[in-house]
Parts: sequence; C-alpha cells; structure tokens
Amino acid sequence: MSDQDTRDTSGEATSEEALSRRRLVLGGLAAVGVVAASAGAFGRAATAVAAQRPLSDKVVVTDPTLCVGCLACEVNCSTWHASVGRSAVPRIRILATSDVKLQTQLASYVPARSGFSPSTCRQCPTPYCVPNCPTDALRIDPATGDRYISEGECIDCGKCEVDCPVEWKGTLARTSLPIDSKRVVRDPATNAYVKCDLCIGRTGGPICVERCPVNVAIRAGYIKSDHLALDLKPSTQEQWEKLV
Amino acid sequence: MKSFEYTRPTSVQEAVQLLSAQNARALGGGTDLLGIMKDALLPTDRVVDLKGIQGLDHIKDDAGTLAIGALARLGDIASSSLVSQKAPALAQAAGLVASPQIRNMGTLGGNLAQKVRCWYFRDADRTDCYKRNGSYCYAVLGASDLHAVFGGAACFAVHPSDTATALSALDASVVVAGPKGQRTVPIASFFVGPDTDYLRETVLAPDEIITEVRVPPGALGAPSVFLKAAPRRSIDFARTSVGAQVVGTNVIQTARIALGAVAPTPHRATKAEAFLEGKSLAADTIAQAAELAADGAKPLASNAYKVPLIKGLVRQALTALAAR
Ligand SMILES: Cc1cc2nc3c(=O)[nH]c(=O)nc-3n(C[C@H](O)[C@H](O)[C@H](O)COP(=O)(O)OP(=O)(O)OC[C@H]3O[C@@H](n4cnc5c(N)ncnc54)[C@H](O)[C@@H]3O)c2cc1C
Ligand code: SF4
Ligand code: SF4
Ligand code: SF4
Repeated sequence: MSDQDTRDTSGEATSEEALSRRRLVLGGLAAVGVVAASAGAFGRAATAVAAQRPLSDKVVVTDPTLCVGCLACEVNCSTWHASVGRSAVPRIRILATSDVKLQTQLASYVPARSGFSPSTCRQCPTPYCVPNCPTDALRIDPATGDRYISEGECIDCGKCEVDCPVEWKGTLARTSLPIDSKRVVRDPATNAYVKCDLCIGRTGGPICVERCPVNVAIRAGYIKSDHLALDLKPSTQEQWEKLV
Repeated sequence: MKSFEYTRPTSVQEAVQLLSAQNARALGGGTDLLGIMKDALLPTDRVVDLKGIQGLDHIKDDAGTLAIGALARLGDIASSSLVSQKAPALAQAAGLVASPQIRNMGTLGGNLAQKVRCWYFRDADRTDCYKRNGSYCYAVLGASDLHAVFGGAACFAVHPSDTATALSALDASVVVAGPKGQRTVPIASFFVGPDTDYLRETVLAPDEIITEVRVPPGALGAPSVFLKAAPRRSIDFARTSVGAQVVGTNVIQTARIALGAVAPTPHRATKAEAFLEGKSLAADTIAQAAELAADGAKPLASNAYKVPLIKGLVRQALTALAAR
C-alpha cells in the first residue's frame, strides 16, 4: 500500500541544486547585471524601494467569479512542492468572501459554490521582498523574472515577510479559520519562508493553472470564457494594480 | 484478476512486516478489497490475510471499556447483546451495512479502512481520478449525487463507512499496530481528508493495521442512535447517515452528532453539538439543532438534496433520543 509515496505530480521537477545551476548558467548569459546588483547595491541596509528589476514574464491572475472553491489548486500546490523537497505550505489560498457572484454558466450549474476568492503572490514589478534578503535566497530568475525563494538557503530571518506589502486577510475557505498574513509566509515545519515560485522547475508551469477543473472545462469549451479562473499573464504594473 | 502473492501471517508483528513490502494490502473479509483488485483500481501485488491472527475477533467488556477486535464480523457486532446494550448506535450501524452475506464476511477493521465508493473512482477507465493517483476530479463539475457537501478539497468523495459514523458519535478510539508498536488514535483524528492526503482516507501507514476499536466508559450506557438514508432499504450505501449520542439526564452535558456520507471523513456537527449543551431535548431545541447541523454545507451540482436530508435525519435522531 505504498501508493501515497508515489503520487503523480508529473511535470518533471528539477531539484533545488539543478535550479541554482540553471540560474547560474542563464544568469551568465542573460542577466549578469541583475545577479551582481542583488549581491552589491541592494545589501542589508538597502530599503525596499523601487529597484529597477526585470518584470516577471508571468503572474497568476485569478478570477473569483470563475472559482468554485474546490481547493484543487491549494492541494496540488502543496503536493507538488513537497514532492520536490520544498515546503508543503500552499502558496495559493482560497479565501471565503460573501460578495462574489459566480459567472452565469457556473452559477446555473453549481449555484452553491460561490464566494471563493483565490489569490497568491503578485510577482510584484517592484519586488519589495527581494532586496533585504541577506542570503540571496529570495531571488529573481534571470531567465523568466520569476521571484522565488530557494528554500534551502532561507535562514528564517523573516525580512521578506516584513517587506511584502500584500496581505491575506479574511477567512480561509479550507478551515473557516481567520487568516491574517503576508503573501510570503513562514513554514514552521521547515523553518523557511514560502511563496508562489510559479512552480519553478516544473515542466508544464504552475500546477494550479494546469489542474484547476474550471480551467479544464474552459479549455475544453464546456464553459465559455475568454480567460481562465487561474490565468498566467505577463506581469506589468497595470496588471499588478488589478490583482486580487 | 492480476496475479498476486498471498500470505497468511499468524501474528500482528508478522503481518505488519509483510505489509511493508511494495503494494501490499491487508485483507479482512475481502468484501471491498476483492472488488478493487478485480477492477485493478489500485496496484496490489501482495495480499496479507489477517484472518490467520488469533484473538482479533473479540467483542468484550474490558474493565468498563467496550473492546472490539478488528476482525470481529459486522454480523456478530450487530447481534451482540453487549454492543446493543452498551453502544446501541454501533449495533444499529453494523446491522444496516449492506446485506447479511456481506455482514457475515465483512470485518470492523475493513469497514473503517475501506476505500471510497465514488462512482468515478470505481470506474476502471477513469485512471486520472486523484484517488487513483491521477490529476483530475470528475465530481467537481460532474454528477455529484454521492459526493461531499462539506470538506471536499481536490477530491469530493465521501467516506462510506456506517460504523465510522456511529463510532464518531461514541467517542471511540482506534488501536493501530505498526512496526514500531502500538498507538491509540481518537476516532476524530483517525480519518484524514484529501487536503492532508488524497490517496488515503485514514492515518494508517501502509504497514499499519487496525487491531481493536475501543468505546470508553463515558459513552457506554448513555442513549445513542444511528440512522441511515439510502435509496434502497438494503445492500446500499448511505446517502446520508447520522450517529448521535447525548450524555446527561434532563440537561445535556455532552452531545455528539456525527454525519456520514456527507464529507470525506465522518463530519461532526459541532455547531449543533455546542447549541445543545445545557439544554433539554424539547421539540423546538431539536428543530434548531437540526438546522445548525447543515450549517456550512456547500453542495455541488447534484447533491443539494443532502442538506434537507441532514436536517431531517438529525431531527429524527434527536427525537428518538428524547424518547429514551
Ligand atoms: C454490495 C456492497 C454493499 C456495501 N454496503 C455497505 C454499507 O452499506 N455500509 C458500509 O459501511 N459498507 C458497505 N460496504 C463496504 C464494505 O465492503 C463492508 O462494509 C466491509 O465492512 C468491509 O470489511 P472487509 O473485512 O470485507 O474489508 P476488506 O475488503 O478485507 O478490506 C477493506 C480495506 O480495508 C483494509 N483493511 C482490512 N482490514 C484491515 C485492518 N484490520 N487494518 C487495516 N486495514 C484493513 C484492506 O486493506 C482494504 O483496503 C458494502 C460493500 C459491498 C460490496
Ligand atoms: S512576496 Fe510579496 S512583495 Fe514579494 S513578489 Fe510576492 S507579493 Fe510582491
Ligand atoms: S482549482 Fe480553480 S476552482 Fe478550484 S479552488 Fe482553485 S481556482 Fe477555484
Ligand atoms: S470525488 Fe475523488 S474519487 Fe471521485 S472522481 Fe473526484 S477525485 Fe476521484
């Protein structure tokens, strides 16, 4: 009965080591300046203000009116990250809100499944969480602009959490318990900070976007929508201002 | 059926050791496992038959605690005068499982450790269901008549066990044996939801088995009841069930209301329980508790009928307890 040890999270994860190798190689080619800057000009004393950084190619854009609160995104996020040796704390969360109106087609089908709001790290154009990390564990992937934490290198200082301006405040759908935190959170099990890393290293990209069943239904044409419940879009300042 | 290795250990230690092998599964009465193997729903290379272990089929009073071995058959539990007298909800639940033939084969351990009955999971072709180590849930936007109205997460299958519902109302504990020895798990933490791990329904590790179920003295003797609603009177799984117990004469000290087949684990109606404490079972109190029992339900496309069913069954169960 060892099925729980062989869970399929596919997408071929790369190990942390391979990830940093990839970063170095790509860094050498594409964004030497960025790597150098994060080691030098933005030292411990630097403020979190407006460093010119490359934008992230992608950010997870969420639409509460297309969310039925099935929690597949949270569960798969945990499962995949744990399967590659990272924290099992979900990096996308569903908050319960009373003021969401489901998209009409979904509302006619699952009327009771409204009131869920997915959200995650905004991959900020100005990544407030990055500059004060003393170990460069919170870094920017030179190839994609992905702001991510190399969890093995996090020393648990909590500076990113202090600097992140974006909050989760409300009620967690999963537990009905209150949540009041930043979008980068501490995992007491690993003593490391955790945030959405866009599933860096996973072929196929973010697992939440791949597996959300509403996304599956939209892609298959069963639900008519010009965008997904969880969509990957280029990160821009304009987009950032609209993020949930 | 795919070929498999069959072993019949004679001790618990030997059994857990055999279960540490890849894709090994314990066998009780086989009424669930054989179906799973026939349809190749889960990889099974080794079957470890527990029935060769002596002394695991007892039903006895152990210094005031009701102790039932994991190999005790459901039929024997249903007809035991000790169980009927001390823990009526459990006797009623065991007696309402399936049919006489299945109750004659099926064991208490197997009933608690059985797999889900979601019709997609049981459909051999749907290999991408989460419970089959896949990546999709057919029920979320599919036909969800059998599925959860509470606690779904990625997977929305409900726990099908009738005895689990009764035992949750009776504050029971499950004794689990593994390679490192024995541990006793309160029933409230024995079942795990898909947000913890969608590939299993209980805390059991692959090389752990249930050896005994214990109902504490505090829950014995106090009135308890189990009711089940299913489309057919027999050989059918619950669409909703309730196990309920109230402790305290006139004024309720403790109330436990467990709902079955509405969530991935037995679901305690905690709001209704808290509401009942300090009150007596008057008709209007019962009606309010029944409303509270369904609080927070979030049905899918075709299981909204479970909400009035929950309310009706809780009202019936509490009314029956008030008459004691
Ligand atoms: C037609 C039909 C109708 C049914 N109706 C109902 C119903 O109304 N209500 C209900 O609750 N159930 C129902 N069942 C489900 C179930 O088969 C029985 O309830 C029975 O109790 C299972 O026990 P078993 O000993 O036959 O289990 P098995 O089939 O032997 O085992 C079931 C599972 O539990 C594991 N297992 C067995 N014993 C142990 C142990 N001691 N420790 C750890 N793991 C163990 C096995 O590995 C397997 O995964 C029905 C089944 C059928 C086929
Ligand atoms: S962790 Fe916070 S500051 Fe950093 S990118 Fe995400 S939302 Fe922005
Ligand atoms: S997987 Fe999709 S529908 Fe399900 S909770 Fe996440 S965003 Fe909502
Ligand atoms: S409810 Fe669970 S068992 Fe059923 S299809 Fe969905 S994932 Fe599979």
